Amino acid sequence: MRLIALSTMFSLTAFSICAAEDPAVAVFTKNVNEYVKIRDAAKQKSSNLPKNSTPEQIQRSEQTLQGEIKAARANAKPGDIFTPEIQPLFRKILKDNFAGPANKEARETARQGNPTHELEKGEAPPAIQINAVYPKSSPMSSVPSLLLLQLPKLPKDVEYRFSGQTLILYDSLSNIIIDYMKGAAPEL
Amino acid sequence: MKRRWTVALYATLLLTVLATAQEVTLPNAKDSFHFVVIGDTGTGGSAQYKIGELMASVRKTFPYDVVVMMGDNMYGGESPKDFVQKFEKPYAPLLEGGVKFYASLGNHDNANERFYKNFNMDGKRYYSFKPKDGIRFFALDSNYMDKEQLDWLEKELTSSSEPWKIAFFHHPLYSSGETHGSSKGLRDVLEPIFLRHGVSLVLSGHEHFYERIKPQRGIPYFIVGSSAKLRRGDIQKTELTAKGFDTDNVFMICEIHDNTLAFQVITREGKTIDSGSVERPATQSKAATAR
Repeated sequence: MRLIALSTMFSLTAFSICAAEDPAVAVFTKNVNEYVKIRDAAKQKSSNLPKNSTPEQIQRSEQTLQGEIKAARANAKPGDIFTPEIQPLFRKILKDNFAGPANKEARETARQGNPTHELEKGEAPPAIQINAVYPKSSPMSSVPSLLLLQLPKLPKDVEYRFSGQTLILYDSLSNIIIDYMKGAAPEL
Repeated sequence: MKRRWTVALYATLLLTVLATAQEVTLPNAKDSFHFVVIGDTGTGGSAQYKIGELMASVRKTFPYDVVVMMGDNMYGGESPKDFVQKFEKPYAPLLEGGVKFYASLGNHDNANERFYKNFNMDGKRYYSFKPKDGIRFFALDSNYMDKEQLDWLEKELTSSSEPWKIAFFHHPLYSSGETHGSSKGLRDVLEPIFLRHGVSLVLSGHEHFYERIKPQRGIPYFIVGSSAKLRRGDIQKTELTAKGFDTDNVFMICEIHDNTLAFQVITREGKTIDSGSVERPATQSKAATAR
């Protein structure tokens, strides 16, 4: 029965599941794409990272991207992308996926690598701030697949992650926190 | 007297030579494919270096050119110095010998490891590669299993004509670990795909121990997550375990010949704590022949 339910789920696009008609989703998507334009413009200045890079090249590329993006988003603040209009939808989807005994597995998934749940020696949780670099000394939370199907679709290299119950919008290319919603998820 | 000393000297020399060569119990058949599995390695600690030495020693009698990494390739920082300390130095003889490491991403890895030349990830979070005719590996990012990755996996497996399809990724679908345990949510999305496409073998890490899981719906699963990290006593007694080991660091050597994969799991002390073989399920073999 579970497999049938899953198959049905996968046959739908993420957009159709998450109320594509909701104008707040369209605004959210537009705002994320605006961020990606800034990131892509920054990439032009740092040049594309080749797939056989040295660690020095990776570090230089990231630092250049970070500098350019921070400069371009100097006035960015929390809620620019997770706007007040879209937040209720996110909170509902997260509550539906995490709250209650039936969602125990989803909570376990989101605890894996969650920096407020799992830290190795020498690691620390990230400082959650707009344009902050997500430190490489912090682990990265897993995100349940079924949840990803229900949240608004993101462009390449932009991801949802968790730190505790905070939902983070994260750029995996520049390693930057784009926006965040504190307390978005129920207790994990 | 002099003759006795000479004999003793030669005997000692012989024993020393034998002792330094790591014993390999795998068939080492002609035209077989050899590879090594390591997981949760990126500490830069003495255990990682010791395992690296043993891997180099094994290669003298069991030549291999491929190592697959189960994620958590780097713990803590990922500066250029960290890459040297936590990867390039521990495995220096292997890298110099032309061995290619293929990494998957763990929850302690930054995604930009995908661009690091020595991880051979082709700039991607998930990818596949074919080291030899008839064998294809699929490296997945189990931290972020979105629809795009699942669609990619379906497409890749559909187009793969290789009889041996080996998936590897960080979070185990089946595990007897107390700290983490089975990733059931991930299992719900991946297992049906694996079954549908006849995946032959699944390798994972994340748990800091070794566990050979009893075949689940015909698919053998291995956890090799203790090639530097170790969580002693973390394996619980469950119905899943065929063999578990959580008291020392290990790596696993593998040999594929026709429809058989032989494996040997070696500790930091050079002891073999598990070995055997798994057969590619007969239905897969028939399907492969029919293509």
